[in-house]
Amino acid sequence: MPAYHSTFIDTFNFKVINNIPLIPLDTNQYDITDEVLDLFKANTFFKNFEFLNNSDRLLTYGILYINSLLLILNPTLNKNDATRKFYNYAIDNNIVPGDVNFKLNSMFMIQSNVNRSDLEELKQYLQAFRITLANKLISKVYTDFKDPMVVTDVPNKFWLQFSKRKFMNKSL
Amino acid sequence: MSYLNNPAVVMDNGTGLTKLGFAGNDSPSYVFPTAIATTTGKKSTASNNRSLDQSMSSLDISNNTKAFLNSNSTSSTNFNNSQHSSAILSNHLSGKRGTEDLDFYIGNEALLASQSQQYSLSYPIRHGQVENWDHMERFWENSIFKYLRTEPEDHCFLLTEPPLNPPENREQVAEIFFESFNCAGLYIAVQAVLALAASWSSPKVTDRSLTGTVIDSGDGVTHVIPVAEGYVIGSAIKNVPIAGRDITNFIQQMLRDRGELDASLKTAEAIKQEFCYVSPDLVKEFNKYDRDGSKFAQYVVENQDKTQRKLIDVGYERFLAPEIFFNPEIASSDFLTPLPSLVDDTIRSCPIDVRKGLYNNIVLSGGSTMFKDFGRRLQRDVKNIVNKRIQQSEQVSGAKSTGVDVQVVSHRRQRNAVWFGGSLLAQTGEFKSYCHTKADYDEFGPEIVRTFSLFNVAK
Repeated sequence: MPAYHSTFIDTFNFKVINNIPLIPLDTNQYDITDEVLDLFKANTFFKNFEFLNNSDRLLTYGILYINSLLLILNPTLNKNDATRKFYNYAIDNNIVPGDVNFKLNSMFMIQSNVNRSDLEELKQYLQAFRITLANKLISKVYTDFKDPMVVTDVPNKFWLQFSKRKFMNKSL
Repeated sequence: MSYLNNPAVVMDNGTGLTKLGFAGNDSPSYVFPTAIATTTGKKSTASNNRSLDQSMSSLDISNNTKAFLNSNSTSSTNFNNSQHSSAILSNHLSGKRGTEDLDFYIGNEALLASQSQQYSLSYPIRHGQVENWDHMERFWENSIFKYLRTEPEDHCFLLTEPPLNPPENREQVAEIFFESFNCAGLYIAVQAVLALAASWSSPKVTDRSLTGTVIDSGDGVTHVIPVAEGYVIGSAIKNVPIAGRDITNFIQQMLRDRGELDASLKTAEAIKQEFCYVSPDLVKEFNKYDRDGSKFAQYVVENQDKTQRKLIDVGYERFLAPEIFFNPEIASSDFLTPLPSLVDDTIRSCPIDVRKGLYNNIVLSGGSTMFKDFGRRLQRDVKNIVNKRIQQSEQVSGAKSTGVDVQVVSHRRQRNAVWFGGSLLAQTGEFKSYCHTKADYDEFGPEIVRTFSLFNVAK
């Protein structure tokens, strides 16, 4: 049983920019960000992952992004500070697949002939994607592992331990 | 001819652990490391000896309590102090008497003795085969006289050997057992075959056949061994470099990642034995933990005087650690084949007429196969691989397949399956007629042990 793949496959005809599908973020139902959080823990243990379709690229981006968020945390950081840091990180580092500074361009197999307005649209989409992920992560990490209903002010160590692992040995 | 009435002695000397006991019993009387501590010839002070002696006697006590807890033990490891002090006393005179070859310890005592400068520890068995015959002979000597406390003349012996053991090694064993120990009779059985015999205790097994695939997983390596009608198919044996030790290391890494208060190998080992199980699906299992905190466990580490307690939280490693059999890439970067596909590969490299029997009877053996639901997961995964292939060939050929029945047998005697299989076979009435006797040996020489007739087990 290899690593898990995304279920948001391309048959839904999402707009695709730089091989990244703009899968709508829906706050009312299970969307791609929920899937990223669900598969994160299992997939971080795998070193090999084959992109079956474009949504797997977005999934990979999300998993690697969560990993970089966990690296911001430390065992004593409280919830408010973490929320602020996460938000700033999501806004400040708006480097998306296709940018010159994006480290994993070869892995994502980016085409270079993307026009400016499309790239801008991708940036906007991914920014929203990152903010949603960061918020959902905060609400999961700041809970007591023995009782997920209890909110704590220090990060759950069973989330923190995953900062030591790297999906495919890569980082954003 | 008292050996005809006495129970046979069953000895399974593995790379890591030796199991000793008498045929007919449920479990071995002794299980201890296959280790021997021999003297290095250095003289040590009397105080050193005394402290060693003390620690030995404390070991005896702990062994005793264990033996009481474990109802299966036939006798406890009780070597009284006088025996020890005399042994150590003779050590002082060893220069004069020339008895240094008697100054050694085996098993747990060897591990303790090796803590002093005076003794050096060695493991006479490497990769299942005897490396140091001199040490092995002394190891057997102590096993028989000090642990089992029997007269070899009065018993038949059933010994085990790994698959593909060279016949020269068997002859060497025969020489030691007949000439040094003067044992009444000897039978050497292949471990995998005994593991198959042990599976007969499972209610799943209806016909007592010696055809099946044995998955033997100890501490160092995991072997997949196909056996057809009592004979090992040597060319198809496959090994996985993933076993108990890797699981322990993985747990230790998880504990370190989380910064738990104690991440020693000992703690990891205890967590492995107490809490680990095999899950059907990783993502679903992670979700279960995140929804319900009761899945997390707690392990208490106490220091020696029981004055301090450390609480270790146990989480995802409960199901992730055994998962490395089924997804090796989560722990190792150089070995990537999951156990189920390796089992499938092994069976497919066997002659076509035995394959159905091999799929039908996949037998587990060894401590690292003891995880809850290990057999169930293996059966499911092998079944999936096989069914997929059948489907493909049906599509290509258009003919309907009769299907292949995949069955993994797990049973309660799995941990010491090889020993238990030996006990099972050696208690049968005909066992003694299959042994080579001392008289045979004297007449024909050591080469008689190159062949042993198989038990007539079909009925």
